[in-house]
Amino acid sequence: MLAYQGGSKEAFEELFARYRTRLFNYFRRSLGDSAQADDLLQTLFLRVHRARDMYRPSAAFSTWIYTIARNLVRDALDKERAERARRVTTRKSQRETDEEPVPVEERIADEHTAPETLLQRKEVAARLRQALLSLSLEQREVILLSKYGGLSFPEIATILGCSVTAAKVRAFRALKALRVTLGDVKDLC
Amino acid sequence: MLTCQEIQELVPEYVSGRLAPTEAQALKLHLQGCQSCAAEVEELTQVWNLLERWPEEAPSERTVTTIRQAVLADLAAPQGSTPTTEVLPGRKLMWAVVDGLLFTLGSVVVMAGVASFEGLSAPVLLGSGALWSALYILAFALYFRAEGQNGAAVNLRAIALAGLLTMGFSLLAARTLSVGQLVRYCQISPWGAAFFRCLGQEGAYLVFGTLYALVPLFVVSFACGERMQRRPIVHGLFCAGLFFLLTLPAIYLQCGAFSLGVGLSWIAGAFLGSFAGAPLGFWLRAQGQSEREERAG
Repeated sequence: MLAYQGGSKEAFEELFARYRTRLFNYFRRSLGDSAQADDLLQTLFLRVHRARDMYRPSAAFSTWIYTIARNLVRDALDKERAERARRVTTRKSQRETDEEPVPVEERIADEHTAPETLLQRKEVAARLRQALLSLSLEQREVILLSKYGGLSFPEIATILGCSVTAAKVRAFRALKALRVTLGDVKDLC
Repeated sequence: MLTCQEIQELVPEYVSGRLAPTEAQALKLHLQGCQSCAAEVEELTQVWNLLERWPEEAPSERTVTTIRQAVLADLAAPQGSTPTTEVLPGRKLMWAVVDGLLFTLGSVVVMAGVASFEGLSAPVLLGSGALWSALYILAFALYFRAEGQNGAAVNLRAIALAGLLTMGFSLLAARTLSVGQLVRYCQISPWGAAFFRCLGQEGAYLVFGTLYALVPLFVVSFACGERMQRRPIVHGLFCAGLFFLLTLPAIYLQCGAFSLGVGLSWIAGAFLGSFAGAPLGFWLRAQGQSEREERAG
């Protein structure tokens, strides 16, 4: 990162190669939408580039970039929620029948019924998506960061702004909630 | 020997294979003697492993190319032309100036209704107005500069928003019942007279100055606290500093008819109220938020 701050193209390429797929999947799994994940990935890296001088080596780069990514997800969800509320209000007043964007949770549920999900592999993936999306945002974040982000709990605690113990307890509860949502796990294994 | 409760904390690291060997050993020892925990840990391990079956995907080539081209082109550009060197883009600066001047105008109108400017000379009034404008513009500049800078250790945008909102409430309070009016009401009431005898005029202004800063700042900080879950005290101190600076011209304009001691007491009160109200509001909100999350979890 320090080399990238100094203007090294090779350093940027290395960081980009190391983080782009991980962060793209963090967005995709948080929002359930690959197109939106692409947009957020672009916003993220351009923001990181603009703010690269603000990065201080006292914090791990992974913590820094995931904190920005997490805030982008929260902003996107807030925006989506506000947009949905606005559309509901508009529809109530104008009795519109326009098609509205499908909320994250429904988007995931719909994928479950798509024709290709007849394949077991895709069905398992769809059930996992559905189960993860049914978690609270806080629980989903901790699972995505620990399982798919490969981050340690001290790093996760820094990103989430909570204690390490709180992050671990949140992860434990998230796993228990997933077990309930997924039903008999052995059927899926 | 670990308890079933203590096991909960270790499970996430255990199922991910990241638990330290000594802790893993202690956990295994507990599982040997506790069937319910052993069954639960086995199920949660299955859930953890199952999550791998949501496969990764790669970002689209178009996105990768767009990011790479934008960043590499910027890195290749001569030093000084990068956006990082720009303190505030022209459009945002313009909005900061416009909003700052409008806020100053509104504040002066409110102050004209509650304070007499007769004892103040024109240069002093102009100087106060200019200082106030500069502070408001600075607050708005902070607000606009921090736009979209997510991930920063300190959320300057939310701090500026809280400081400006509190200033609005504070002016509204001054318009409804200014500190001067409150002091006068107190002086004519029996309990107020006793209060004044006890504290003296300086003491009374210190107390009221504290309350007039503490209450609105606490309310606004608590309301905005959700955005400052990280480092609530640091956010509170920044917000207190901003509000204190913004409120100084208002106090100065109202202090024209008072002695230096009263003015300084009022300022000291505002300082105490600011630096108590904002950190307390943010901290309490952050605590409440964490507890709610824990309960919801």
